[in-house]
Amino acid sequence: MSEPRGPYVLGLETSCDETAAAVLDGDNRILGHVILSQDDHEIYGGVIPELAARAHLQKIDSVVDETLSRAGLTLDRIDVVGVTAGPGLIGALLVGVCWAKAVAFALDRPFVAVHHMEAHLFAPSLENPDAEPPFIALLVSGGHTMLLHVLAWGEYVLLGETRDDAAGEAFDKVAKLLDLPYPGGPEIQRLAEAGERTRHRLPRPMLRRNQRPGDPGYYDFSFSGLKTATVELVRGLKADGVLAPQRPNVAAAFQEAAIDVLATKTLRAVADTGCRRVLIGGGVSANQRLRDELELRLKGEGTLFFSSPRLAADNGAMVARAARFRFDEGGATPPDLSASAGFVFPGLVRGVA
Amino acid sequence: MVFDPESFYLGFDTSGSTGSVAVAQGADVLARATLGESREHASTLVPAIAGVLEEAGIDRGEVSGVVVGEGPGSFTGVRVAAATAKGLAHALDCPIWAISSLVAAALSVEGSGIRYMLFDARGDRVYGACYGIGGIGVETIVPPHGGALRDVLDGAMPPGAVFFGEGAGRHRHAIEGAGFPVAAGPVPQPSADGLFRYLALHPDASPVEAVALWEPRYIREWQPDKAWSA
Repeated sequence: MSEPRGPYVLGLETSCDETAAAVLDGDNRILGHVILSQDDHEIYGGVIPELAARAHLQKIDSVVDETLSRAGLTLDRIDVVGVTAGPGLIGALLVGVCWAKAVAFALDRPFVAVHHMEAHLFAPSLENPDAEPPFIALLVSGGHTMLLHVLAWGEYVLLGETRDDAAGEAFDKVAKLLDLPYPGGPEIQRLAEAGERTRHRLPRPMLRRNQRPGDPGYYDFSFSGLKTATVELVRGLKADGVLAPQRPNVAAAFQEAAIDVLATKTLRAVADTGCRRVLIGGGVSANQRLRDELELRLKGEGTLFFSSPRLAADNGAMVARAARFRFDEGGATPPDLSASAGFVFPGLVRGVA
Repeated sequence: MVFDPESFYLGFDTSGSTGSVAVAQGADVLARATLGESREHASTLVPAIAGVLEEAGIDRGEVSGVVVGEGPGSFTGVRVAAATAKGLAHALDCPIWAISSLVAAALSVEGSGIRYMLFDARGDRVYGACYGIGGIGVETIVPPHGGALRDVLDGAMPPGAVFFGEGAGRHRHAIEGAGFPVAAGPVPQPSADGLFRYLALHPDASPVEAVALWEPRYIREWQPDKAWSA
Protein backbone atom coordinates (compact mmCIF):
# COMPACT_ATOMS: atom_id res chain seq x y z
CA MET A 1 0.00 0.00 0.00
CA SER A 2 1.34 3.40 -0.91
CA GLU A 3 1.99 6.04 1.70
CA PRO A 4 -1.13 7.99 2.72
CA ARG A 5 -1.34 11.40 1.12
CA GLY A 6 -3.78 14.28 1.33
CA PRO A 7 -6.16 15.81 1.12
CA TYR A 8 -7.13 14.42 4.52
CA VAL A 9 -10.85 14.62 5.16
CA LEU A 10 -12.40 14.47 8.62
CA GLY A 11 -16.01 13.22 8.61
CA LEU A 12 -18.33 13.76 11.58
CA GLU A 13 -21.68 12.12 12.17
CA THR A 14 -24.05 13.10 15.01
CA SER A 15 -27.47 12.86 13.37
CA CYS A 16 -28.95 10.26 15.72
CA ASP A 17 -27.46 8.23 18.58
CA GLU A 18 -23.99 7.47 17.23
CA THR A 19 -21.15 9.91 17.79
CA ALA A 20 -18.83 8.97 14.95
CA ALA A 21 -15.75 10.30 13.22
CA ALA A 22 -13.33 9.09 10.58
CA VAL A 23 -10.40 10.36 8.57
CA LEU A 24 -9.91 9.46 4.90
CA ASP A 25 -6.78 10.10 2.91
CA GLY A 26 -6.63 11.49 -0.62
CA ASP A 27 -7.31 8.01 -2.05
CA ASN A 28 -10.40 7.58 0.15
CA ARG A 29 -8.69 5.06 2.38
CA ILE A 30 -9.86 4.96 5.99
CA LEU A 31 -7.01 6.00 8.27
CA GLY A 32 -9.00 6.29 11.49
CA HIS A 33 -12.56 5.28 12.31
CA VAL A 34 -14.48 5.50 15.61
CA ILE A 35 -18.16 4.95 16.34
CA LEU A 36 -19.40 5.58 19.85
CA SER A 37 -22.93 4.24 20.37
CA GLN A 38 -24.92 5.93 23.08
CA ASP A 39 -26.19 3.21 25.35
CA ASP A 40 -28.32 5.45 27.57
CA HIS A 41 -31.28 5.11 25.17
CA GLU A 42 -31.63 1.37 25.82
CA ILE A 43 -33.50 2.00 29.05
CA TYR A 44 -36.17 3.95 27.16
CA GLY A 45 -36.44 1.62 24.15
CA GLY A 46 -35.76 4.41 21.70
CA VAL A 47 -33.68 7.49 21.12
CA ILE A 48 -34.44 10.47 23.36
CA PRO A 49 -33.46 13.54 21.30
CA GLU A 50 -32.36 15.73 24.21
CA LEU A 51 -30.24 12.97 25.74
CA ALA A 52 -28.68 12.23 22.34
CA ALA A 53 -27.71 15.87 21.84
CA ARG A 54 -26.18 16.12 25.31
CA ALA A 55 -24.20 12.91 24.82
CA HIS A 56 -22.82 14.07 21.45
CA LEU A 57 -21.53 17.28 23.02
CA GLN A 58 -19.99 15.31 25.86
CA LYS A 59 -18.16 12.87 23.57
CA ILE A 60 -17.35 14.64 20.32
CA ASP A 61 -13.86 15.86 21.28
CA SER A 62 -12.81 12.46 22.60
CA VAL A 63 -14.18 10.62 19.56
CA VAL A 64 -12.27 12.92 17.20
CA ASP A 65 -9.09 12.68 19.26
CA GLU A 66 -9.25 8.88 19.19
CA THR A 67 -9.90 8.92 15.43
CA LEU A 68 -6.92 11.21 14.79
CA SER A 69 -4.70 9.15 17.03
CA ARG A 70 -5.58 5.99 15.07
CA ALA A 71 -4.90 7.88 11.84
CA GLY A 72 -1.57 9.09 13.18
CA LEU A 73 -2.52 12.68 12.40
CA THR A 74 -3.05 15.85 14.38
CA LEU A 75 -6.11 18.03 13.86
CA ASP A 76 -4.11 20.72 12.03
CA ARG A 77 -3.23 18.17 9.29
CA ILE A 78 -6.92 17.91 8.31
CA ASP A 79 -7.62 19.58 4.94
CA VAL A 80 -11.42 19.37 4.80
CA VAL A 81 -13.96 19.15 7.66
CA GLY A 82 -17.13 17.29 6.63
CA VAL A 83 -20.21 16.86 8.79
CA THR A 84 -23.74 15.51 8.49
CA ALA A 85 -26.06 18.53 8.40
CA GLY A 86 -29.29 16.57 8.00
CA PRO A 87 -31.67 14.89 7.98
CA GLY A 88 -31.80 13.67 11.55
CA LEU A 89 -32.56 14.88 15.07
CA ILE A 90 -32.05 18.64 14.98
CA GLY A 91 -30.46 18.99 18.43
CA ALA A 92 -28.07 16.13 17.72
CA LEU A 93 -27.16 17.44 14.26
CA LEU A 94 -26.46 20.92 15.63
CA VAL A 95 -23.72 19.62 17.91
CA GLY A 96 -21.75 18.17 15.00
CA VAL A 97 -22.41 21.12 12.71
CA CYS A 98 -21.47 23.82 15.26
CA TRP A 99 -18.38 21.92 16.34
CA ALA A 100 -17.28 21.29 12.74
CA LYS A 101 -17.87 24.89 11.69
CA ALA A 102 -15.82 26.14 14.64
CA VAL A 103 -12.94 23.76 13.90
CA ALA A 104 -12.95 24.60 10.19
CA PHE A 105 -12.99 28.31 10.97
CA ALA A 106 -10.23 28.07 13.58
CA LEU A 107 -7.98 26.05 11.20
CA ASP A 108 -8.99 28.13 8.17
CA ARG A 109 -10.04 24.98 6.29
CA PRO A 110 -13.14 24.33 4.19
CA PHE A 111 -16.25 23.13 5.98
CA VAL A 112 -18.52 20.83 3.95
CA ALA A 113 -22.11 19.98 4.93
CA VAL A 114 -23.21 16.49 3.94
CA HIS A 115 -26.62 14.87 3.44
CA HIS A 116 -26.85 11.81 5.65
CA MET A 117 -28.53 9.62 3.01
CA GLU A 118 -26.11 10.61 0.26
CA ALA A 119 -23.33 9.57 2.64
CA HIS A 120 -24.91 6.11 3.01
CA LEU A 121 -24.67 5.68 -0.78
CA PHE A 122 -20.89 6.06 -0.59
CA ALA A 123 -20.29 3.58 2.25
CA PRO A 124 -19.89 0.35 0.21
CA SER A 125 -17.41 2.06 -2.15
CA LEU A 126 -15.01 2.49 0.77
CA GLU A 127 -14.57 -1.28 0.92
CA ASN A 128 -15.31 -2.30 -2.65
CA PRO A 129 -14.01 -0.22 -5.56
CA ASP A 130 -16.70 -1.72 -7.82
CA ALA A 131 -19.52 -0.21 -5.75
CA GLU A 132 -19.80 2.76 -8.11
CA PRO A 133 -22.87 3.98 -10.01
CA PRO A 134 -24.97 3.12 -11.81
CA PHE A 135 -26.94 1.10 -9.28
CA ILE A 136 -30.33 0.75 -7.64
CA ALA A 137 -29.98 1.80 -4.00
CA LEU A 138 -32.17 0.63 -1.15
CA LEU A 139 -31.44 2.77 1.91
CA VAL A 140 -33.01 1.34 5.04
CA SER A 141 -32.40 2.65 8.53
CA GLY A 142 -34.15 3.67 11.71
CA GLY A 143 -35.10 7.00 10.20
CA HIS A 144 -35.40 6.36 6.46
CA THR A 145 -36.54 3.98 3.77
CA MET A 146 -35.68 5.09 0.23
CA LEU A 147 -35.38 3.46 -3.15
CA LEU A 148 -33.16 5.33 -5.60
CA HIS A 149 -31.79 4.93 -9.08
CA VAL A 150 -28.25 6.26 -8.84
CA LEU A 151 -27.15 7.18 -12.35
CA ALA A 152 -23.86 8.74 -11.28
CA TRP A 153 -22.49 10.28 -8.09
CA GLY A 154 -24.65 13.35 -7.60
CA GLU A 155 -27.41 12.19 -9.99
CA TYR A 156 -30.16 10.51 -8.03
CA VAL A 157 -33.68 9.54 -9.07
CA LEU A 158 -35.98 8.97 -6.10
CA LEU A 159 -38.23 6.04 -7.02
CA GLY A 160 -39.97 5.45 -3.73
CA GLU A 161 -39.87 6.05 -0.01
CA THR A 162 -41.83 5.17 3.09
CA ARG A 163 -45.16 6.86 3.65
CA ASP A 164 -45.06 6.39 7.42
CA ASP A 165 -42.58 4.49 9.59
CA ALA A 166 -39.06 3.71 8.45
CA ALA A 167 -38.18 0.02 8.10
CA GLY A 168 -35.71 0.19 10.98
CA GLU A 169 -38.27 1.93 13.15
CA ALA A 170 -40.67 -0.98 12.57
CA PHE A 171 -37.94 -3.43 13.59
CA ASP A 172 -37.32 -1.40 16.76
CA LYS A 173 -41.02 -1.21 17.65
CA VAL A 174 -41.64 -4.92 17.11
CA ALA A 175 -38.53 -5.67 19.16
CA LYS A 176 -39.94 -3.60 21.99
CA LEU A 177 -43.24 -5.46 21.66
CA LEU A 178 -41.36 -8.75 22.07
CA ASP A 179 -39.40 -7.39 25.07
CA LEU A 180 -36.16 -7.30 23.08
CA PRO A 181 -33.57 -4.61 23.77
CA TYR A 182 -32.92 -1.53 21.63
CA PRO A 183 -31.78 -1.37 18.84
CA GLY A 184 -34.17 -4.02 17.65
CA GLY A 185 -32.84 -5.03 14.22
CA PRO A 186 -30.13 -7.48 15.25
CA GLU A 187 -32.35 -8.84 18.05
CA ILE A 188 -35.26 -9.59 15.70
CA GLN A 189 -32.88 -11.30 13.29
CA ARG A 190 -31.43 -13.46 16.08
CA LEU A 191 -34.82 -14.42 17.50
CA ALA A 192 -36.23 -15.10 14.02
CA GLU A 193 -33.48 -17.64 13.34
CA ALA A 194 -35.17 -19.93 15.87
CA GLY A 195 -38.63 -19.35 14.41
CA GLU A 196 -40.76 -20.64 11.55
CA ARG A 197 -41.21 -18.07 8.81
CA THR A 198 -44.62 -19.34 7.76
CA ARG A 199 -46.15 -20.13 11.16
CA HIS A 200 -47.94 -16.75 11.16
CA ARG A 201 -48.86 -14.70 8.13
CA LEU A 202 -48.49 -10.91 8.31
CA PRO A 203 -49.53 -8.41 5.62
CA ARG A 204 -47.21 -7.07 2.92
CA PRO A 205 -48.29 -3.42 2.69
CA MET A 206 -48.35 -1.68 -0.70
CA LEU A 207 -47.67 -4.80 -2.76
CA ARG A 208 -50.98 -6.15 -3.95
CA ARG A 209 -52.73 -3.05 -5.19
CA ASN A 210 -49.69 -1.30 -6.62
CA GLN A 211 -48.38 -3.79 -9.11
CA ARG A 212 -47.78 -1.75 -12.25
CA PRO A 213 -45.44 1.16 -12.92
CA GLY A 214 -47.55 4.26 -12.56
CA ASP A 215 -49.66 2.82 -9.74
CA PRO A 216 -49.53 5.39 -6.93
CA GLY A 217 -47.48 3.30 -4.55
CA TYR A 218 -45.59 1.15 -7.02
CA TYR A 219 -42.22 1.86 -5.40
CA ASP A 220 -43.37 3.28 -2.06
CA PHE A 221 -43.27 1.57 1.32
CA SER A 222 -45.49 1.55 4.38
CA PHE A 223 -44.63 -0.17 7.63
CA SER A 224 -47.16 1.13 10.12
CA GLY A 225 -49.87 -1.34 9.01
CA LEU A 226 -47.43 -4.22 9.35
CA LYS A 227 -46.52 -2.98 12.81
CA THR A 228 -50.21 -2.76 13.81
CA ALA A 229 -50.87 -6.27 12.48
CA THR A 230 -47.92 -7.53 14.54
CA VAL A 231 -49.31 -5.79 17.63
CA GLU A 232 -52.65 -7.56 17.04
CA LEU A 233 -50.95 -10.91 16.53
CA VAL A 234 -48.98 -10.52 19.77
CA ARG A 235 -52.11 -9.44 21.65
CA GLY A 236 -53.97 -12.53 20.44
CA LEU A 237 -51.13 -14.88 21.37
CA LYS A 238 -50.84 -13.25 24.77
CA ALA A 239 -54.58 -13.64 25.40
CA ASP A 240 -54.25 -17.33 24.51
CA GLY A 241 -51.31 -17.61 26.89
CA VAL A 242 -48.96 -18.89 24.18
CA LEU A 243 -46.86 -15.80 23.47
CA ALA A 244 -43.65 -17.03 25.08
CA PRO A 245 -43.12 -20.09 22.84
CA GLN A 246 -44.39 -18.15 19.79
CA ARG A 247 -41.99 -15.20 20.07
CA PRO A 248 -39.45 -16.61 17.57
CA ASN A 249 -42.29 -17.31 15.11
CA VAL A 250 -43.63 -13.77 15.46
CA ALA A 251 -40.15 -12.33 14.88
CA ALA A 252 -39.70 -14.55 11.81
CA ALA A 253 -43.13 -13.67 10.40
CA PHE A 254 -42.52 -9.95 10.85
CA GLN A 255 -39.03 -10.11 9.35
CA GLU A 256 -40.31 -12.10 6.36
CA ALA A 257 -43.07 -9.61 5.65
CA ALA A 258 -40.75 -6.58 5.91
CA ILE A 259 -38.06 -8.18 3.77
CA ASP A 260 -40.55 -9.42 1.19
CA VAL A 261 -41.74 -5.84 0.67
CA LEU A 262 -38.21 -4.39 0.55
CA ALA A 263 -36.95 -7.05 -1.86
CA THR A 264 -40.02 -6.94 -4.09
CA LYS A 265 -39.84 -3.17 -4.56
CA THR A 266 -36.09 -3.31 -5.16
CA LEU A 267 -36.50 -6.00 -7.80
CA ARG A 268 -39.24 -3.98 -9.48
CA ALA A 269 -36.69 -1.19 -9.88
CA VAL A 270 -34.15 -3.67 -11.25
CA ALA A 271 -36.66 -4.99 -13.77
CA ASP A 272 -37.90 -1.59 -14.87
CA THR A 273 -34.51 0.11 -15.20
CA GLY A 274 -32.59 -2.87 -16.49
CA CYS A 275 -29.94 -1.97 -13.93
CA ARG A 276 -28.92 -5.21 -12.24
CA ARG A 277 -26.53 -3.65 -9.78
CA VAL A 278 -28.11 -3.21 -6.35
CA LEU A 279 -26.64 -1.38 -3.37
CA ILE A 280 -28.07 -1.56 0.13
CA GLY A 281 -27.17 0.87 2.88
CA GLY A 282 -28.27 1.96 6.35
CA GLY A 283 -28.54 -0.02 9.56
CA VAL A 284 -31.13 -2.52 8.25
CA SER A 285 -28.79 -3.43 5.37
CA ALA A 286 -26.82 -5.41 7.96
CA ASN A 287 -29.76 -7.85 8.13
CA GLN A 288 -28.57 -11.18 6.73
CA ARG A 289 -32.04 -12.31 5.64
CA LEU A 290 -32.40 -9.15 3.54
CA ARG A 291 -29.05 -9.79 1.86
CA ASP A 292 -29.85 -13.46 1.25
CA GLU A 293 -33.27 -12.65 -0.19
CA LEU A 294 -31.90 -10.00 -2.56
CA GLU A 295 -29.09 -12.34 -3.70
CA LEU A 296 -31.69 -15.06 -4.28
CA ARG A 297 -33.99 -12.84 -6.31
CA LEU A 298 -31.11 -11.46 -8.39
CA LYS A 299 -30.52 -15.14 -9.32
CA GLY A 300 -26.82 -14.66 -9.85
CA GLU A 301 -27.56 -12.29 -12.73
CA GLY A 302 -26.85 -9.15 -10.80
CA THR A 303 -24.49 -7.73 -8.22
CA LEU A 304 -25.36 -6.84 -4.66
CA PHE A 305 -23.19 -4.26 -2.90
CA PHE A 306 -23.30 -3.79 0.84
CA SER A 307 -20.99 -2.73 3.65
CA SER A 308 -19.49 -4.49 6.59
CA PRO A 309 -21.47 -3.71 9.78
CA ARG A 310 -19.22 -0.82 10.86
CA LEU A 311 -19.97 1.04 7.62
CA ALA A 312 -23.60 -0.07 7.23
CA ALA A 313 -24.64 1.77 10.38
CA ASP A 314 -24.11 5.51 10.85
CA ASN A 315 -20.42 6.33 10.66
CA GLY A 316 -17.98 9.13 9.94
CA ALA A 317 -16.19 7.48 7.00
CA MET A 318 -19.18 7.69 4.68
CA VAL A 319 -19.60 11.34 5.71
CA ALA A 320 -15.96 12.06 4.93
CA ARG A 321 -16.30 10.34 1.54
CA ALA A 322 -19.44 12.30 0.65
CA ALA A 323 -17.77 15.51 1.88
CA ARG A 324 -14.83 14.83 -0.44
CA PHE A 325 -17.22 14.38 -3.37
CA ARG A 326 -19.20 17.53 -2.53
CA PHE A 327 -16.00 19.53 -2.01
CA ASP A 328 -14.57 18.44 -5.35
CA GLU A 329 -17.91 19.26 -7.02
CA GLY A 330 -18.73 22.61 -5.48
CA GLY A 331 -16.16 23.66 -2.90
CA ALA A 332 -16.78 24.65 0.68
CA THR A 333 -20.19 25.17 2.26
CA PRO A 334 -20.86 28.78 3.39
CA PRO A 335 -20.32 29.19 7.15
CA ASP A 336 -23.85 30.43 7.73
CA LEU A 337 -25.28 27.00 6.94
CA SER A 338 -27.01 25.36 9.88
CA ALA A 339 -28.20 21.84 10.52
CA SER A 340 -31.68 21.05 9.29
CA ALA A 341 -33.96 18.09 9.85
CA GLY A 342 -35.19 18.68 6.29
CA PHE A 343 -31.78 19.17 4.67
CA VAL A 344 -32.24 18.88 0.90
CA PHE A 345 -30.77 15.80 -0.77
CA PRO A 346 -28.44 17.32 -3.37
CA GLY A 347 -28.88 16.04 -6.91
CA LEU A 348 -32.13 14.23 -6.11
CA VAL A 349 -35.06 14.33 -8.50
CA ARG A 350 -38.36 12.57 -8.05
CA GLY A 351 -39.13 10.35 -10.93
CA VAL A 352 -39.91 7.04 -12.43
CA ALA A 353 -37.11 4.89 -13.71
CA MET B 1 -3.85 29.16 32.81
CA VAL B 2 -4.39 32.79 33.80
CA PHE B 3 -6.65 35.32 32.14
CA ASP B 4 -4.07 37.71 30.70
CA PRO B 5 -4.91 41.41 30.22
CA GLU B 6 -2.69 41.61 27.11
CA SER B 7 -4.08 38.55 25.25
CA PHE B 8 -7.01 38.33 22.84
CA TYR B 9 -10.17 36.44 23.75
CA LEU B 10 -13.39 35.51 21.98
CA GLY B 11 -16.55 35.65 24.06
CA PHE B 12 -20.09 34.61 23.16
CA ASP B 13 -23.44 33.57 24.59
CA THR B 14 -26.38 32.12 22.62
CA SER B 15 -28.48 30.86 25.52
CA GLY B 16 -31.28 33.38 25.01
CA SER B 17 -33.32 34.99 22.29
CA THR B 18 -30.57 37.51 21.55
CA GLY B 19 -27.11 36.12 21.02
CA SER B 20 -23.95 38.09 21.59
CA VAL B 21 -20.35 37.88 20.37
CA ALA B 22 -17.27 39.97 21.15
CA VAL B 23 -13.52 39.94 20.86
CA ALA B 24 -11.56 41.50 23.70
CA GLN B 25 -8.01 42.26 24.74
CA GLY B 26 -8.00 41.07 28.30
CA ALA B 27 -11.47 42.17 29.38
CA ASP B 28 -11.56 45.25 27.14
CA VAL B 29 -14.02 44.64 24.34
CA LEU B 30 -12.59 45.65 20.93
CA ALA B 31 -15.52 44.66 18.70
CA ARG B 32 -18.94 43.20 19.29
CA ALA B 33 -21.93 41.84 17.38
CA THR B 34 -25.50 40.98 18.31
CA LEU B 35 -27.29 37.92 16.93
CA GLY B 36 -31.04 38.27 16.39
CA GLU B 37 -33.63 35.53 16.12
CA SER B 38 -32.69 32.62 18.40
CA ARG B 39 -33.43 29.96 15.78
CA GLU B 40 -30.64 31.43 13.67
CA HIS B 41 -27.86 31.38 16.27
CA ALA B 42 -26.29 28.23 14.78
CA SER B 43 -26.16 29.94 11.38
CA THR B 44 -24.93 33.33 12.49
CA LEU B 45 -22.47 32.59 15.31
CA VAL B 46 -19.37 31.61 13.28
CA PRO B 47 -19.84 34.39 10.68
CA ALA B 48 -20.24 36.86 13.58
CA ILE B 49 -17.03 35.58 15.18
CA ALA B 50 -15.24 36.08 11.85
CA GLY B 51 -16.78 39.57 11.66
CA VAL B 52 -15.64 40.79 15.08
CA LEU B 53 -12.12 39.45 14.54
CA GLU B 54 -11.90 41.23 11.22
CA GLU B 55 -13.28 44.45 12.69
CA ALA B 56 -10.69 44.34 15.48
CA GLY B 57 -7.93 43.40 13.04
CA ILE B 58 -7.05 40.21 14.88
CA ASP B 59 -6.11 36.93 13.21
CA ARG B 60 -7.89 33.79 14.40
CA GLY B 61 -4.52 32.29 15.31
CA GLU B 62 -3.93 35.10 17.81
CA VAL B 63 -6.91 34.09 19.96
CA SER B 64 -5.67 32.86 23.37
CA GLY B 65 -8.93 31.67 24.87
CA VAL B 66 -12.69 31.36 24.58
CA VAL B 67 -15.13 32.82 27.11
CA VAL B 68 -18.55 31.21 26.83
CA GLY B 69 -21.89 31.64 28.52
CA GLU B 70 -22.47 28.17 30.00
CA GLY B 71 -26.26 28.50 30.37
CA PRO B 72 -28.85 28.06 31.67
CA GLY B 73 -31.25 28.90 28.89
CA SER B 74 -32.64 27.25 25.79
CA PHE B 75 -31.09 23.74 25.70
CA THR B 76 -30.33 24.09 22.02
CA GLY B 77 -29.03 27.65 22.33
CA VAL B 78 -26.75 26.67 25.19
CA ARG B 79 -25.41 23.80 23.08
CA VAL B 80 -24.79 25.98 20.03
CA ALA B 81 -22.40 28.14 22.06
CA ALA B 82 -20.88 25.16 23.87
CA ALA B 83 -20.22 23.09 20.72
CA THR B 84 -18.73 26.14 19.01
CA ALA B 85 -16.55 26.91 22.04
CA LYS B 86 -15.33 23.32 22.22
CA GLY B 87 -14.50 23.23 18.49
CA LEU B 88 -12.60 26.53 18.67
CA ALA B 89 -10.71 25.54 21.81
CA HIS B 90 -9.85 22.13 20.37
CA ALA B 91 -8.54 23.53 17.09
CA LEU B 92 -6.76 26.55 18.63
CA ASP B 93 -5.51 24.48 21.57
CA CYS B 94 -6.64 27.15 24.00
CA PRO B 95 -8.63 27.19 27.27
CA ILE B 96 -12.34 27.87 27.80
CA TRP B 97 -13.69 30.09 30.54
CA ALA B 98 -17.28 29.02 31.23
CA ILE B 99 -19.36 31.67 32.97
CA SER B 100 -23.01 31.57 33.95
CA SER B 101 -25.33 33.17 31.41
CA LEU B 102 -27.24 34.53 34.41
CA VAL B 103 -24.26 36.57 35.64
CA ALA B 104 -23.52 37.59 32.04
CA ALA B 105 -27.03 39.05 31.92
CA ALA B 106 -26.74 40.62 35.38
CA LEU B 107 -23.58 42.44 34.28
CA SER B 108 -24.91 43.51 30.90
CA VAL B 109 -26.52 46.64 32.36
CA GLU B 110 -24.57 49.31 34.23
CA GLY B 111 -24.98 49.92 37.94
CA SER B 112 -24.60 48.13 41.22
CA GLY B 113 -26.88 46.55 43.79
CA ILE B 114 -28.46 43.21 44.50
CA ARG B 115 -29.83 41.71 41.31
CA TYR B 116 -32.00 38.62 41.29
CA MET B 117 -31.76 37.43 37.68
CA LEU B 118 -34.61 35.36 36.28
CA PHE B 119 -34.74 33.63 32.89
CA ASP B 120 -38.03 32.27 31.67
CA ALA B 121 -38.04 28.45 31.58
CA ARG B 122 -41.62 28.04 30.27
CA GLY B 123 -44.81 27.76 32.25
CA ASP B 124 -44.39 29.00 35.80
CA ARG B 125 -40.78 27.89 35.89
CA VAL B 126 -37.66 30.00 35.90
CA TYR B 127 -33.90 29.79 36.07
CA GLY B 128 -32.58 32.17 38.70
CA ALA B 129 -29.54 33.42 40.55
CA CYS B 130 -28.92 36.38 42.83
CA TYR B 131 -25.79 38.52 42.61
CA GLY B 132 -24.44 41.36 44.69
CA ILE B 133 -22.74 43.68 42.24
CA GLY B 134 -20.29 46.31 43.45
CA GLY B 135 -17.34 48.24 42.09
CA ILE B 136 -14.82 45.62 43.12
CA GLY B 137 -16.55 42.35 42.38
CA VAL B 138 -19.60 40.17 42.02
CA GLU B 139 -20.79 38.13 44.96
CA THR B 140 -22.97 35.13 44.20
CA ILE B 141 -25.66 35.31 46.88
CA VAL B 142 -27.96 32.61 45.46
CA PRO B 143 -26.22 30.32 42.92
CA PRO B 144 -27.88 29.40 39.60
CA HIS B 145 -30.87 27.14 40.11
CA GLY B 146 -34.11 26.19 38.41
CA GLY B 147 -37.65 25.65 39.58
CA ALA B 148 -41.07 27.15 40.12
CA LEU B 149 -41.26 30.92 40.46
CA ARG B 150 -43.33 30.35 43.59
CA ASP B 151 -40.39 28.66 45.31
CA VAL B 152 -38.17 31.65 44.54
CA LEU B 153 -40.73 34.12 45.92
CA ASP B 154 -41.45 32.01 49.01
CA GLY B 155 -37.76 31.38 49.70
CA ALA B 156 -35.31 33.47 51.68
CA MET B 157 -34.95 36.70 49.74
CA PRO B 158 -31.73 38.71 50.09
CA PRO B 159 -32.69 42.15 51.49
CA GLY B 160 -32.76 44.86 48.83
CA ALA B 161 -32.93 42.41 45.91
CA VAL B 162 -34.38 43.73 42.65
CA PHE B 163 -35.59 41.30 40.02
CA PHE B 164 -34.06 41.50 36.54
CA GLY B 165 -34.23 39.61 33.28
CA GLU B 166 -36.68 38.15 30.77
CA GLY B 167 -38.23 35.93 33.44
CA ALA B 168 -38.77 38.90 35.76
CA GLY B 169 -40.56 40.80 32.99
CA ARG B 170 -42.77 37.88 32.15
CA HIS B 171 -43.76 37.30 35.79
CA ARG B 172 -43.79 40.97 36.82
CA HIS B 173 -47.32 40.73 38.16
CA ALA B 174 -46.61 37.79 40.45
CA ILE B 175 -43.30 39.21 41.66
CA GLU B 176 -44.67 42.65 42.45
CA GLY B 177 -47.74 41.00 43.98
CA ALA B 178 -45.40 39.21 46.39
CA GLY B 179 -43.96 42.58 47.38
CA PHE B 180 -40.67 42.56 45.45
CA PRO B 181 -39.45 45.17 42.95
CA VAL B 182 -38.87 44.45 39.28
CA ALA B 183 -36.25 46.59 37.52
CA ALA B 184 -37.49 49.14 35.02
CA GLY B 185 -35.72 49.83 31.75
CA PRO B 186 -34.28 47.49 29.13
CA VAL B 187 -34.37 43.78 29.85
CA PRO B 188 -30.79 42.56 30.34
CA GLN B 189 -29.75 39.72 28.03
CA PRO B 190 -26.72 37.51 28.58
CA SER B 191 -24.06 39.31 26.58
CA ALA B 192 -20.41 38.93 25.68
CA ASP B 193 -19.85 42.31 27.36
CA GLY B 194 -21.29 40.82 30.54
CA LEU B 195 -18.96 37.82 30.27
CA PHE B 196 -15.92 40.09 29.92
CA ARG B 197 -17.14 42.38 32.68
CA TYR B 198 -17.23 39.36 34.96
CA LEU B 199 -13.62 38.53 34.05
CA ALA B 200 -12.60 42.17 34.56
CA LEU B 201 -13.88 41.87 38.14
CA HIS B 202 -12.58 38.31 38.59
CA PRO B 203 -9.43 37.91 36.44
CA ASP B 204 -8.39 35.03 38.68
CA ALA B 205 -11.36 32.88 37.51
CA SER B 206 -10.17 29.43 36.45
CA PRO B 207 -10.77 28.06 32.96
CA VAL B 208 -12.50 24.68 32.63
CA GLU B 209 -10.20 21.83 33.60
CA ALA B 210 -10.60 19.52 30.59
CA VAL B 211 -12.04 21.08 27.44
CA ALA B 212 -12.87 17.70 25.89
CA LEU B 213 -15.04 16.66 28.83
CA TRP B 214 -16.62 20.02 29.56
CA GLU B 215 -20.40 20.35 29.37
CA PRO B 216 -22.59 23.42 29.74
CA ARG B 217 -24.84 23.91 32.77
CA TYR B 218 -28.32 22.98 31.62
CA ILE B 219 -29.53 22.90 35.26
CA ARG B 220 -32.66 21.03 34.24
CA GLU B 221 -32.40 17.28 33.63
CA TRP B 222 -34.19 15.82 30.67
CA GLN B 223 -36.40 13.36 32.55
CA PRO B 224 -39.63 15.09 33.49
CA ASP B 225 -39.97 13.18 36.77
CA LYS B 226 -36.60 14.30 38.03
CA ALA B 227 -36.59 17.68 36.37
CA TRP B 228 -35.35 20.62 38.33
CA SER B 229 -32.67 18.99 40.41
CA ALA B 230 -30.13 21.76 40.17
